Amino acid sequence: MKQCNRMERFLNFVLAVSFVCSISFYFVKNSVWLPFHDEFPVAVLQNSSYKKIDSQLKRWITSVERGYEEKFYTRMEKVEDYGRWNQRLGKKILDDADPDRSVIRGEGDMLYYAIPKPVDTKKFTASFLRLDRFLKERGIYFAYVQAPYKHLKNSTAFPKGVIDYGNRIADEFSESLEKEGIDVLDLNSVFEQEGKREETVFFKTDTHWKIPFAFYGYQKTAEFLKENEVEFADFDVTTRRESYTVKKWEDVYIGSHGKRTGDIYAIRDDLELLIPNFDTDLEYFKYTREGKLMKERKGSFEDSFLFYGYLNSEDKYQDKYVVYMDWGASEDVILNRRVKNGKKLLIVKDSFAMPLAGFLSLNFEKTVLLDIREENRPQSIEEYIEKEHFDTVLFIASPTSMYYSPEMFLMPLH
Amino acid sequence: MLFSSVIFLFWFLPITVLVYFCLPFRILKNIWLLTVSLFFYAWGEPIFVFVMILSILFNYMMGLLLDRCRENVGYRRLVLTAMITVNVSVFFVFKYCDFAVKTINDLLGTNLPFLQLGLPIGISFFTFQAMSYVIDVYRDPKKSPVQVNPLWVGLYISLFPQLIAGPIVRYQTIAKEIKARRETVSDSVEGSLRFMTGLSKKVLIANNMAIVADLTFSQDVRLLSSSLAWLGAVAYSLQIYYDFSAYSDMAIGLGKIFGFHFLENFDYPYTAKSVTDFWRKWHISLSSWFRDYVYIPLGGSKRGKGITFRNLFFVWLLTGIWHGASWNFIAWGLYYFVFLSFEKFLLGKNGLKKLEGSVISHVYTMIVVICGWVLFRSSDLAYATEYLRKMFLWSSPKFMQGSTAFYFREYALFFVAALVFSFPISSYLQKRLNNTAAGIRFLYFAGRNTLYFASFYLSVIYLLKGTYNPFIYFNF
Repeated sequence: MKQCNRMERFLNFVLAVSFVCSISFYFVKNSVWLPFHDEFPVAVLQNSSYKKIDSQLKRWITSVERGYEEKFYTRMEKVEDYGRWNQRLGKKILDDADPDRSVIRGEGDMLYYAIPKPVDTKKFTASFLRLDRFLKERGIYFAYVQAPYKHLKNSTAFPKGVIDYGNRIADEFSESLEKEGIDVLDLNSVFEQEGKREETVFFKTDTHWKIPFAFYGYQKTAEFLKENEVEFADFDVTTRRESYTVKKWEDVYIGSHGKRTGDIYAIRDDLELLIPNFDTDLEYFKYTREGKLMKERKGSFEDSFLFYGYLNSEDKYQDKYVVYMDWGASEDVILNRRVKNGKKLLIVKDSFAMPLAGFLSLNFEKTVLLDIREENRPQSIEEYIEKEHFDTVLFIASPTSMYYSPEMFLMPLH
Repeated sequence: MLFSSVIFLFWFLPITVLVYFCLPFRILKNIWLLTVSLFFYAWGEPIFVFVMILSILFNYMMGLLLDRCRENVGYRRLVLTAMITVNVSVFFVFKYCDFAVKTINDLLGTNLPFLQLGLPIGISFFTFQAMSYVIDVYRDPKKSPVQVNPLWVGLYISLFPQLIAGPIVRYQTIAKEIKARRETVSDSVEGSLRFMTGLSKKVLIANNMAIVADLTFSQDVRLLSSSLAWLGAVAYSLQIYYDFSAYSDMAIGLGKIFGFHFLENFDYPYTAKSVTDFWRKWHISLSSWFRDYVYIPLGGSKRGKGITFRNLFFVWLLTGIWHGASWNFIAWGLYYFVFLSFEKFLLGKNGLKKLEGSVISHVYTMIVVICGWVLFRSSDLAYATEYLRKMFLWSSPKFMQGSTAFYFREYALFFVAALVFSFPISSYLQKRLNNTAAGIRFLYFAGRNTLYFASFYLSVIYLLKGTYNPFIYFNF
């Protein structure tokens, strides 16, 4: 018994020393001052309300903690160890600090997010009805274009049994809009009906559709708008696939899903871009949340919309989807110098609409993209439209935004 | 700041321990511990830290007042009443006021405004600790002499290992250790091990169970299948046990490193053979607090069945209320009142003994406990009722087909580990090894410790990757 105790005590001592050494090693490797790389927001203390001071201080503290974790010595190696561990366990779900951003691994290395909880779409329908009435009074055409959801209805790659409300809320919402007499183009259903496979439509490691399929979405949108007698230019040229050349880069892209899993668990996608063969002359302006001009480009479609710099980034996790049209800003304005039909298009959108909007801008003299999500510029669309007359308003978004950014579907009045 | 966070493990803790062991005198060590404890609390509550400081000062003064009027029984009673009134009032205002307002508005159709003050983290724990200090000084000044140094009262109430998630430490437990304690190598070793196992329990088991539990409890209950409802209920039962007991392990471990010896808070509650037995093993510091400060002063079980029944009712009503400002917590407390009364009054001592010795005892206890956790976890009573209905009336909607099997398979390793380690496996194996060869004993301890270290390393990987790490005590 005594020997047992002595042996146990010795081995416990060794374990405790290992624990202390591990803690000490990482303490030394990460600077003592590392948490405080962000300056203390002294101005916060001048607020009058204790609740405001409290919430802003807590935000600062959270950013300090996050910063410490992100800069932690050998963090990315640990992320990759996490990927290896989960690979060995054969796990299909890679958990995240934000459970809404857990990555699900399907067949053929397809990675997904899922919408794990139900979403009440009734409030969204009420907002859309309000907007539709407002626009009809002013003779402005309005339609909702629902981008496809990565976990397509006919999916065979998505793991069976994972709870995902994505298609359910997509169908519920589009049906409720149609019942209210609002025009809907449900690309999610169209893609399913035409037998499209998510393995070809979407990036494996990112939530977004590939550019050739964004173009397909554009073709469907253009046909839909034509059927609804929306006037726009050069339909026959811009909607033909043969009018474009494909540029391709192989194994270059680790998307948002892959960033969360590390590249051990995620393979790399190819990137294909469509460049018009015909003449184009565009101006592209990007504005901040405060309305300040932050980028401006002029010239051909390629000169205006393609941001090749992202392809050369040293960061292997650099987002390549934004090679087309760049990151979404609060407001993007596109002027087409070759179209003189005086027609203006407003697109209220999320990131799915970006490439689609680029193609649509080939048909309108002026195209404006508004991002009214929390992180960009929540604003009233009615008030925006009062300042500038539009001929057509489209709301283009993915069903995922109903879950992650419900405020854009609620469309604030002010 | 959470114990299960990178900044705590690799920044706060090493600085705290390093400076502590470098300081030469007990008084300096205590001042350092008090400073870091206040910093630790302020990190999570930069404004409400002043509420805690005021609570410390108030209760310190109440203790002094009691000491000053040692001979005057009436005045002492007045001070005690004032202390309880003020503490409970502050507690009520922060935690229950808006719930009370909502209830009045719902019942009477009024439109009273909400205070929306916010809830200071750990207020339930530090308020009860502060009250227990003053009550102990009142009851037995010899056993619990008043502390004249406000810093030591502050240290007792705010000591960071047990501040935000317990265990609720009685002043008597550590009064002597505040002034005179020894930090030994064996305590540091045991404390480190205890902390490591607690961290692994929290990050690897509790957090993974939380994913399944949170997923199921956030579903549209109409679409929930019976099997998934059961899986979610079991997952939550495991989550709350491992989360809570892990925090206690880490608190006890950290306390030991600094020379403090807190009492155990959990004793493998899921091995209980009756509901009575369960509450001897679950959150022991809370149930003993209510026993010593509410049940026994009301008369306990020494004044007849009627009074005992009444006392049990009050204790379990208060236990439910303590856990949160919501009807489902009150229902949860009264749910246990019903079962405990059943065991105490209907079964009696002999019946209870028979039950605990029977084959079905464990199954009965676990069904009661798991259903209780459904009440506890649900967003409201209506959801809890529907959820329990799903558990007991077979339902298998198409939308959820295959989900139970998928989520069980996905988290099977963690489910199995959680179930296995909810039994005292380690002590059982050690007893069996007592008479075996030294080589086998060496292999066992080496293997066990390797597993502990591997779990610790894996926990760090999970924390750095950024995995789901909920803090479920924000209600407390």
